[in-house]
Amino acid sequence: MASADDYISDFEDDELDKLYEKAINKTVKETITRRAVPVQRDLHNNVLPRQKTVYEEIQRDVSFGSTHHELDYDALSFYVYPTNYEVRDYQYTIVYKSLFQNILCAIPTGMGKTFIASTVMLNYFRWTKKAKIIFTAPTRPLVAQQIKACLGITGIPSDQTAILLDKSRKNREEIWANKRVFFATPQVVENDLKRGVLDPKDIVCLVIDEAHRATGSYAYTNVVKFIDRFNSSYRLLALTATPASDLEGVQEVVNNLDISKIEIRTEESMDIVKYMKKRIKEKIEVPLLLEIEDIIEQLGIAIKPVLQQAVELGIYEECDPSQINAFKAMQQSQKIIANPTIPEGIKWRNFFILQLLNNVGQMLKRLKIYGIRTFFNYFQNKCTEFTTKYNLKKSTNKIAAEFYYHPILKNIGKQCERYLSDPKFVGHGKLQCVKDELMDFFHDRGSDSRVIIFTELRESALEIVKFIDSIADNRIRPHIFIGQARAKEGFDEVKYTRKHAPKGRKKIERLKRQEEEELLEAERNKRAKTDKFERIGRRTGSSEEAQISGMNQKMQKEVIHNFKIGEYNVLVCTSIGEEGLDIGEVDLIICYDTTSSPIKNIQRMGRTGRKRDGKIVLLFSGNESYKFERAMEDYSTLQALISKQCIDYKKSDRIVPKDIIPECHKTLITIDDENEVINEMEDVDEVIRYATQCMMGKKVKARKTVMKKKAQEKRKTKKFFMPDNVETNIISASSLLNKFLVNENGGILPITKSENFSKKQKVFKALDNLENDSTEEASSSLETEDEDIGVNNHAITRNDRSERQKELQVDVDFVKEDPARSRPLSNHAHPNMAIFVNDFSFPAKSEHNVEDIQKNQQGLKKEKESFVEKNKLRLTSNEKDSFRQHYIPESISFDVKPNIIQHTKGVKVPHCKKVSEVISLFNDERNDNKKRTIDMNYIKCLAKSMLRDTQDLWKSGDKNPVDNSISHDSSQSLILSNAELDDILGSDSDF
Amino acid sequence: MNDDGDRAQLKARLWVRVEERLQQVLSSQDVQYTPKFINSLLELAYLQLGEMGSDLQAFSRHSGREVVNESDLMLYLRKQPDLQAKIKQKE
Repeated sequence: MASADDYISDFEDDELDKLYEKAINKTVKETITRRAVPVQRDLHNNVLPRQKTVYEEIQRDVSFGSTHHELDYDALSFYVYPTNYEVRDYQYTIVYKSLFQNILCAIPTGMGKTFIASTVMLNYFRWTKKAKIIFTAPTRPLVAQQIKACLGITGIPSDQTAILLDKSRKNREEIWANKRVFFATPQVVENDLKRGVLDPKDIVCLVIDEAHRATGSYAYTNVVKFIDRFNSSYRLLALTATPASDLEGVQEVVNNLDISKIEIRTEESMDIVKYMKKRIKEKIEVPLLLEIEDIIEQLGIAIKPVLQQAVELGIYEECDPSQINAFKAMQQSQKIIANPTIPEGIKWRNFFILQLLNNVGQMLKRLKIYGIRTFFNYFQNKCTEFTTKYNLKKSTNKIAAEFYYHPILKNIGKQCERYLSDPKFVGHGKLQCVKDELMDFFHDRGSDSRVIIFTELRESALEIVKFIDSIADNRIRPHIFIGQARAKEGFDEVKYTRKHAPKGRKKIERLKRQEEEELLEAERNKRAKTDKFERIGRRTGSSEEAQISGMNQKMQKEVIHNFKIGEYNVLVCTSIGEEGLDIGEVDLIICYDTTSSPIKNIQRMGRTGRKRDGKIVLLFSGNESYKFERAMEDYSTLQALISKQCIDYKKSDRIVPKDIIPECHKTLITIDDENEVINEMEDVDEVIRYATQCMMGKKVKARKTVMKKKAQEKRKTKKFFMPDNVETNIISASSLLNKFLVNENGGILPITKSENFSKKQKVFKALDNLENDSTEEASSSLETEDEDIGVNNHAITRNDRSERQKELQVDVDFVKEDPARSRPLSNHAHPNMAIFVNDFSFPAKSEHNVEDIQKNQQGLKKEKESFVEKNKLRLTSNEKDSFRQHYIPESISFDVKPNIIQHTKGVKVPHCKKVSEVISLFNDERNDNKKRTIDMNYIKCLAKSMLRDTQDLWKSGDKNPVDNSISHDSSQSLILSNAELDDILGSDSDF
Repeated sequence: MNDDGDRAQLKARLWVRVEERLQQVLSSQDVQYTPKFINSLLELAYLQLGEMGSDLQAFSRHSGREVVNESDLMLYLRKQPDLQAKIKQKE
């Protein structure tokens, strides 16, 4: 066993790794420098245990071999830079860099990331012959945008592109195999890589849009990791507007995507500024309304005792009651739950206190940022929820009770109701601001322009829509735009009470209860219906409806469409509208609230200033302006850090051989009409549908051949991607053990094994033979039968012929009368048709006499009879025929040339002469009969020469066009007037 | 041998006509044809004309004539009145 041990320890881990990565052209050289480190010693000068005596520094040198992709060296000498749009310096430099390095490109929204991506894709498309180029983006609109750019700007042929947006599309195998440029979602790519449909080694260029998502275990990360294992020679281009919100985040993205360089541009960057559309940022600090201040104060009085308790317990920082922060409270409560050292009782008490603080924090936030209406909905909901629970003794939370039963809360409720009952009441100062801004804006610009208002809360969005609508100005037409989740159902007091009311045990009571429930249910449904009708009746009906039930994809599309065509011109969005909405006409963005995420803020602002100058209005109240400034400051310091090279980059393969430095060819790419269409498309779906059609269009043509192959393809087994030179088989552990035994014992086991194997094979062979034999026998007997029939056929045709000879006898006699004409066939005085009398091996010799013919006939008759007898003896031909019909050969093939059976169904009656000739013609063609082809080609050559000659003749205007032909009389017979020939050919319609 | 030569000559002449005709018919449509196709079309046309010839001869003999004339052609075309009318017009 010692030998076995030795064998195993032959490989070090890193050596194994190297073997594993043989397929990759990347080599990593590690140099480790060790330095002695001062260590702690005891009194006897011995080194204390568990100390590191050396300090190791590892330096990694990465180098790449030549790529495994097939390169097109002619195309490599230059790269194409489309000049269809204005050439922008920053795009130019980024494109150049990203051709040879893995670049993370972070430039502000609307600055042409799509263009950069499509130029890089185009050049890799040109440079490689077979390799695949993949574009991934998380959403449909982004994919559509890229398709538009790729087909519309760079003119990548549309039949080479494929679009894969969902996993449900069938035969993706074919698509992956046949196309070169793919537009897909990362999930599809990940899935297909793992299924083995897509070979990672084929990929030469991967473009990742919205790359800031490449964190954690998002599909982007997995895709890149997977490809890295097999292929280090591919170009990665990551695009984003906002790499991450902190340096660690950026580093993570860089690590996950193997980025070699970040190209970051901010709105202030020198080379960007001149291309930026002007965006005016206006920050408006909105003071809180007096009513709101009042309510905040009252809430503060109610919550103060709870807050004090929390501070005493050390679970919440001391602060003014009006500054309670929901987020902080929640963080604290989560911390407490996660802490196992706190005894259960205290833990839960603290938790409930913090939960209450959280709720109050939410209320305050709503009050300060969104207004009274939003606050009141939340407030009432929470109050009724708690009080009903408490009344039913489901909750015994004394601390919360203290708050919710505080007399001042009742006052708040009443106050709010009073405010809200006045339809002209404005819930928050911001609403007034929104109104002013909108009025000014539409007054200046007219109603062609578009406005987007962002808010975080749905309720608030609806409130804004309603408020804008109440302005009752025809120029302003708002609609809500939200995600597809349903609104949370508010706490239903009646339902809850019923559910938890004491229940009777008797049957009657139960029945009664059921009845009541049904009644209630019916009533609720009825109310919901009437509510719905009422809503639809109102102007903002569809927005209200949407707020309650959420907007599915279809509704979202519809709203966006209507927004584009101008049916609505104000869109009130939640965070769903932040990314990827590309509507050029948006001239005004109103941020109703702010978020502390710089990414979100930037994305929001990126919705305007895309085609023309835009304006952004930021509404601040409370501490929002502080939050916003801090977020943006963080972000700009982050950008500064990134450009200061604080990131640890990874080296990437250049792919293009080092000695080739492609020059730039700035060319105006002309797009063929087919792809020009796509430039005019606006709608996301339209673009995607078009691209899909392009993809399928090719496939429809290919389908015919595909259908035949289908059977084969279905059997195509799953392909597992393994590192090269790996043994792939199922190997039992015992067989692996045997290897060692063989070394020691000299190979007894393997022999017995192989014997077994061959025996098995023999058995199979025998079986095979049996089957084959039986079929062969059948076929051979068939052949003999065919021969018999053939003989019969010959006999009959011969018979036929002799009869015709008889007829011709008359003709021949007629010929003899005219001695000037030696042969009847070449007689041009005859009607030309006469030549055709009998075309095949016509024995025109007149020496035949009747006797001979008669003899012949008799002989034939005998033959015939004998044949019939034979036939009677083995009259299995029908059976054979039916066998032939039902026998399905292994491979099905289709003949283009008709294969007419030699005989009519009655077998004994042959086809008429013409038909049999036609049959033999096609038979010859099917079998590529050489004699026939030579004949045909000979005739063709003759025809060609004749054509030339006659043309020459007509040119020279010779009166006697006969002399030049091969033989005098035959050529004469060939002089058919055009009219005659046309007539003859006219009757072609007969067949 | 002479027989065969004549037939070849005849076929070649017919070949020229067939191709001419094909080009006329197909020029308007965007259709390509292989040389093989024209070869087999020629064979078919040749066969058809051969049969037509023998038919005409048989008709003329049936009416006791030695020379095929227009009436035989009319008889041959009895199933295609349109074609008959055309031929009559030409005369």
